[in-house]
Amino acid sequence: MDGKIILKNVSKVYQKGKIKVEALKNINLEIEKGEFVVIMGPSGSGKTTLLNIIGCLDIPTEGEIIYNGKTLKNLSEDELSEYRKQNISFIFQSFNLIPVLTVKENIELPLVIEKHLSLKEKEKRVLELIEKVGLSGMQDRYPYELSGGQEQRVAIARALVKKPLVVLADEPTANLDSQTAIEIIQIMREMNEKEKTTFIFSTHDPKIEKFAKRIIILKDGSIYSDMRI
Amino acid sequence: MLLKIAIRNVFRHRRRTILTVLVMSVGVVFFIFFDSLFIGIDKMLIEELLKYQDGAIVIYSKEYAQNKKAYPLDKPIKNPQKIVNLVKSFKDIEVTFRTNFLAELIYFEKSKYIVATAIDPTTDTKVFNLHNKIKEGRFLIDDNQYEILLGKKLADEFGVKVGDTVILSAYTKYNTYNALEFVVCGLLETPVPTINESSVFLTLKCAEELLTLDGSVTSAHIKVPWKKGEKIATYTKKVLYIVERLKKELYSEYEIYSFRELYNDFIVLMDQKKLSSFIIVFFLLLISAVGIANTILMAVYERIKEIGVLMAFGFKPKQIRKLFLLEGVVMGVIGGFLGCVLAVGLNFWLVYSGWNLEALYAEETTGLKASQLGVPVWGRFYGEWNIYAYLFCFCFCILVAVFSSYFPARYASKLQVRDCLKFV
Repeated sequence: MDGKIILKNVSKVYQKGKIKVEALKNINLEIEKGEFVVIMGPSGSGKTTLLNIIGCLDIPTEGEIIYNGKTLKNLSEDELSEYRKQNISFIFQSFNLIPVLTVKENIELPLVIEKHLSLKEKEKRVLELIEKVGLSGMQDRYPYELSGGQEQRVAIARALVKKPLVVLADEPTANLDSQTAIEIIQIMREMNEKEKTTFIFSTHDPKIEKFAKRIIILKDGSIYSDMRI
Repeated sequence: MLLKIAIRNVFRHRRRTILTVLVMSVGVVFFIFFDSLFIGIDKMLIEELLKYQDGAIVIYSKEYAQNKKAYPLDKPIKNPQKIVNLVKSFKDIEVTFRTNFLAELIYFEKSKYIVATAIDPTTDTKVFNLHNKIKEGRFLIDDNQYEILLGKKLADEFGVKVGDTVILSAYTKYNTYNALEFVVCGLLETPVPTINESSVFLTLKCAEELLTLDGSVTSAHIKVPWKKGEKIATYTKKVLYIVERLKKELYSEYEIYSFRELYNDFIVLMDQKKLSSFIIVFFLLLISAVGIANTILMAVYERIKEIGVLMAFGFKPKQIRKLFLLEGVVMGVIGGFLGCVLAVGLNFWLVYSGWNLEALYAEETTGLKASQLGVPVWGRFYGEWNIYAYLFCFCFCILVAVFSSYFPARYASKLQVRDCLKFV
């Protein structure tokens, strides 16, 4: 298993009433395991659509996506769910923590459906991540008791707890002040280094560019540039 | 974890949950209260009628039974001793004989047609409980002739007191008219309104003088003891067994009725009343079902983002459905439990204090006599504990909750993850 993600000739067309919107046009992309990829581009350039397709949240109109050498073409909703469960995690712009769960419970949430892990193992992973993202002592707090930066740290821990192949983040720093945004990206980068987890995230923020190993710029649904730094 | 999320989500919107759950609880309280009351009324109705009016089994001659509403004195029980001997073969059961007849009660210028009952004071007390319900004066004594017991309400209506003399006139067995004066020895106040309002009791010896009965009686009344706490169904089974055995011996000459047959009309009436109250409860639970469905549906709309997040992390549609179903179940459990707890309090009051319906429908305010209210016994009604009603309600609440939350839960599970995440 090489952990490689390959997008072959991926296009996505949305039908909005009688109008067809081409969100992605013939994207060809290979992302190696452990990469830290930033996707940039103006609004409407297709960043979110690309992340959704990589994250198996949406199906391409044309082309195919290959994870670990396995094509995801023609998979059912349930099979895609199963694939997401095993391989993919998400970090959202507005954190999207479950408000009725504590920090610890939120981080543990993706493991609820992991039947092969013992309770002890789940507990160990959660506590380790709480420490790694710098939330020690806050595990019993509820999301409304946290700052935006702390909430996003919880979201990062939640994304990493099941040890996914890839973490996708759609503008994870958009709701944070610039200092906190840099802290969050640093944590993501640290996790990328330590866990060798692939991170792919979109952003508008040019200050974040310097943390990227690879920058992909989208324009009108096509790859405008793809630079490895 | 899913249960934890469900429980916490249910309490996220407390006011909404409380309202939904309260409607459900009120439905449960209604159901248990009326179930308890109706079981109590059923039991009381049968017990009191058994104690004061008919006994568990009544035997008439076949000819008398065909025309019993006319109280024909010339169609008596031909061989009472045969019945006495037969009854002796059963353990603990007692028999007494009575003669009912139509008579006119006269007191100065007032008169009223009533059904009078001639009894044997010695054996009657073994079958009936009239002797314990003397409000004023005393019960009949076999030796004393020309004495009479009146229902208290009837006496009040006539302005008669203990010691006053009234006239009873009636047709004799040979269809001649006769009238005798009787001294009122006591006034009866029983839970059976018809006895209080229109009954007259005298001894068989007195009746002999008035009606020339030639020692005959028209009905035999059998008491079958009702053990404390014994269910109606068990008691009925016991009585029907005795009736069957009596029928084998007496079938050719006599008609034998169990209380079940005698009070069938009342039992049907009570069943109708039960049905109407259950319909009310059904509608209450229906309202709460709509409430739960609405609450869950609102929860689905409010938490589309959360559904999207869960799906993005690999939760399958059935797990999403389970989460919302669990929320419905949690509400059902709370509603059912709360309803049962509240019902226990009300049930306790009904069982130990009773509900004085007499006070609620006082004759002075409604103008209705107790006998006109459609319930053959009257006074303070006591409920019964019925654990099955509690179990039924609790399970029914959960069932209603599952059913009503199923459709919103299914809707939630069919949402597309990308659509949910558009809200993100």
